[in-house]
Amino acid sequence: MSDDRAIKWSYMDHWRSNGPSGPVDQWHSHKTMSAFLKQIKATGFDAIDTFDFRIWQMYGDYGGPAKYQEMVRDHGLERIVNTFHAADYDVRNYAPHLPETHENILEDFRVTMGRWSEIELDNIIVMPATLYYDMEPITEDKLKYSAECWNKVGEITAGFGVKLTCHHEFFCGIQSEPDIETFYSYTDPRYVSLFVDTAQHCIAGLDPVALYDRHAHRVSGFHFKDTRNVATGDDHRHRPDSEIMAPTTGKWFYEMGTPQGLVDFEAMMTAVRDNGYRGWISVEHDKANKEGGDYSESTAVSRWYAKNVLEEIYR
Amino acid sequence: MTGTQSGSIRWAYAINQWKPQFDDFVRREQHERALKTMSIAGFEGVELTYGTGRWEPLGNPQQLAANFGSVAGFREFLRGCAIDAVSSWYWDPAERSMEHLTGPLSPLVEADVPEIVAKAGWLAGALAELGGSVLLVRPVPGAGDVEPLDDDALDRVAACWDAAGRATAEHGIRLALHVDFLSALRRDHVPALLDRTDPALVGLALDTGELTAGGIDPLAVIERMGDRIWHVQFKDALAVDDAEEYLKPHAHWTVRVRGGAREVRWFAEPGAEGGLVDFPAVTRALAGAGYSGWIVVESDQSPHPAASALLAGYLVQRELGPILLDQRKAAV
Amino acid sequence: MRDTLRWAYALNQWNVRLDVFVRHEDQQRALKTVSACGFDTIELASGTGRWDNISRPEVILANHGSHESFLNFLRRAKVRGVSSMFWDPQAPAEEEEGYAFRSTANPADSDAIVEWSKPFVDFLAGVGGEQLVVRPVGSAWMSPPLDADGIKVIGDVWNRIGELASAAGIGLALHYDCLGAVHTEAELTGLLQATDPATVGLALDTAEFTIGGIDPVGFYREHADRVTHVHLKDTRYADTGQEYRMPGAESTMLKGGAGRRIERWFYELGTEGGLVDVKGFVAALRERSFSGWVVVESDHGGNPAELAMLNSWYLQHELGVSKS
Repeated sequence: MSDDRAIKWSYMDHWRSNGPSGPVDQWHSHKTMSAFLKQIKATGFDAIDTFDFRIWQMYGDYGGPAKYQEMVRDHGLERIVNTFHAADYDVRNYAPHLPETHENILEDFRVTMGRWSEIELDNIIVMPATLYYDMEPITEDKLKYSAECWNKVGEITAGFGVKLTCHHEFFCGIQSEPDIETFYSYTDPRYVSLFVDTAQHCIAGLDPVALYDRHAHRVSGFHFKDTRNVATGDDHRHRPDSEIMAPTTGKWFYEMGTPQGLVDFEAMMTAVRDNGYRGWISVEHDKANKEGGDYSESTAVSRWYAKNVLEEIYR
Repeated sequence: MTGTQSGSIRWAYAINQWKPQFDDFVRREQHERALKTMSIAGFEGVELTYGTGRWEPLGNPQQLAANFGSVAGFREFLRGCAIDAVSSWYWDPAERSMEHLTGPLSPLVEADVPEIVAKAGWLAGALAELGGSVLLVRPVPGAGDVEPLDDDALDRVAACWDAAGRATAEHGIRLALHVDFLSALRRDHVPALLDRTDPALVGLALDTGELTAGGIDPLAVIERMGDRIWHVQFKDALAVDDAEEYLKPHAHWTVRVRGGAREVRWFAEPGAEGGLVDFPAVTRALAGAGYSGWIVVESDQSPHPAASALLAGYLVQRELGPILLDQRKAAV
Repeated sequence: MRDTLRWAYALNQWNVRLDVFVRHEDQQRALKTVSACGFDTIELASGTGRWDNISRPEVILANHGSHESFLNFLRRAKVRGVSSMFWDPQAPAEEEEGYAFRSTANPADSDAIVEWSKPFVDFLAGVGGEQLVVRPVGSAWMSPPLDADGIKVIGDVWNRIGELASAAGIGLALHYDCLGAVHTEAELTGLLQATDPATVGLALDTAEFTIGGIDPVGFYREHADRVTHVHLKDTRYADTGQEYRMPGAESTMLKGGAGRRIERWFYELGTEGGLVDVKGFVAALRERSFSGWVVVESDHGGNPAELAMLNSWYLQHELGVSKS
């Protein structure tokens, strides 16, 4: 592989393998972590993404993010590119649309960014809103308060050299096309970027390619994953959970290249090329092991698709 | 258990083995299949494990209400699966609560005691509605995560659980201390703690697997403290922590979950190959000690949860249940 | 894989039970996995019946219509072709006289076995495969020990099939396994001597050799001229107590039913505690400019995709093989 590629591929953290007592994730032990990194590297990924909450295992088991990243590099991967900030949204104390909770959110990011400061990250990815049912009705004011919150958070993360970027889950409060547009109209492009998750937008009924084209100048990364279902009825606001518990759909997410996938990845990759994007694309297939699936195989099939279909369009 | 009903002992199965990872076992149809599996394996009750947040639908009363309309709605759901009751609930106060916005609580910290007592009462209230009888608690943190327990510490712990036991008793629920193999109580402290508690308010949960993994013979515990045993869990141990790994910090993760330096599988359903617990002997000893209450069978974790439940059901129906029947007949 | 050695991957690890790996989309996923791991050539393993539709030549053709269509099926996943195919005439198959049980050790079975080989030879020639890899004899526990005459009988059958294969432009490679009635190094050497070097070669399987007590590196160096095919896999155990003679050794030994109760013998390259000197063996292949296929496999060891990916990592990072 030459180093002058426009696109490099990163793998987003989700992983399960079969342990003697049942499924375990890669953080289970040094052995399972090594096996995970080997498999990612073998199929041709260049790097990994991770979650903020993994930092405790990085400190506990590896001596911190820098030491853990050394292990990643020992397996031939470049580095950790992005981290996903999986916060506990709660209207009592952590809700971007509620200004009275903003100081708590800002403090969370001051602490979090400090923890990560020993390594170089491109993005810290957030869901920009609470669950849909905790934010509805979605009003312009709420979108504006949310934008103000993330503008301030983005200023904090920029101070650490990391972009704050928003990932719009289909079940979060900012997921429809008009709401996303309103939200970005209030955010400061210097401090708030968009992270396009192809499946999440597709499930929410948006065309991810069109969304990307409209906001390409502020898109700082992608989750390339597929889905076979568009949300219907109350799927996006199902209590207490939509992501796993929606009655219509037991498994929302599939690896790209899946049969019956709804995302037009060839159009997406063409748009990535035509917008002149250079950098990282993250591959994700969270919950790939639901309904009999297997993470290793999904990872191989998705990287196969990237190599044999998408890299033919742009690399 | 059909055909092996043995008077005052009832058999239940623990739900924890079905949820190996946080995003597993969230959907209703998965709960239904697990409960029906337990039922047809011959168990009439289910033991729940405390959990928090929206991916823990069976974790606490608020989540039960969010998912089943009310706690009573969950009881109906259980009945639909031919499970009669929730026998018991396991709760470690060090688990945070997203529902209450509280972090880890410790019985060693006096300021935490009111919240511990309140939560114990909350769980007990729901448990009473669900036909259960025992709230199991982790009485102290792991040995590697606290200073060695001195007399003063044991006094504080005892006072906390007496108070919590008083709160659960208001709902007709007993409070039982579940001492696991990583517990700071493992080294000879159990009698010292029990002696400090009110025998009317606080009892002991006997977990055969945890004791065995900790190098303690469950038969000796029954002989010495049989009158304080309020709850029993039957799980098998596949290994013993003979290198005292339980003294390491964060042993819950490094020793229990990962399996310690040897990366062993500690626990399995009773009767699993390589199991170290003599279940017929323990069953006879419990009957001999006059134990009455739930025996909850569990595997903790399993690569094949349904198979574990069915294999355990076979053992209970064919071997352990008949032991209880024989002893009752002999007594008559 | 770009290398002076020619690397292929065996599909057998996916076909672990009779009712799995039957649907074409499952097969496509496996082929894409192999491809994503850097392998563009595969080895097939024989089977029987309509659910072995990527195994049994007649069933493959029934599914795909022609050799070319089957190759197109592989190409959809960016797999270019078939290196080889494994066949055990001792394993009863519906297509072979309705599950007839025959053995190469029985002279009365020779004609039938030669006849049975023809679909494999034809199929391999049709898809451009190079080696028919065969189990030369049944399991040791099923018959009395072989003497020189017995080995000659076996050799004669394979010489006849070797001629057939050679006429079709493909090679025949006898695959030693740890349960076979040809078990010791002397017996194996005897079998090689009883066969024609022009038409019959040896398939050296590093794990099978190691379990059976034969050093693969030493044996290869001594018999490099006869080794025409390689299976590269690892094991953590050797048969130290003649476990291969236990009745039903396929299950009692290899599936842990008795003896030391070892449930899994075969492992991916680089496994902890692996007994095979993989690097030494591959170095020996390079020294002798081995020109046959080196087929990586892990047999029925665990999660197939995971094992393929770990094997690929080992080739790239421990053996210095470039993926592309």
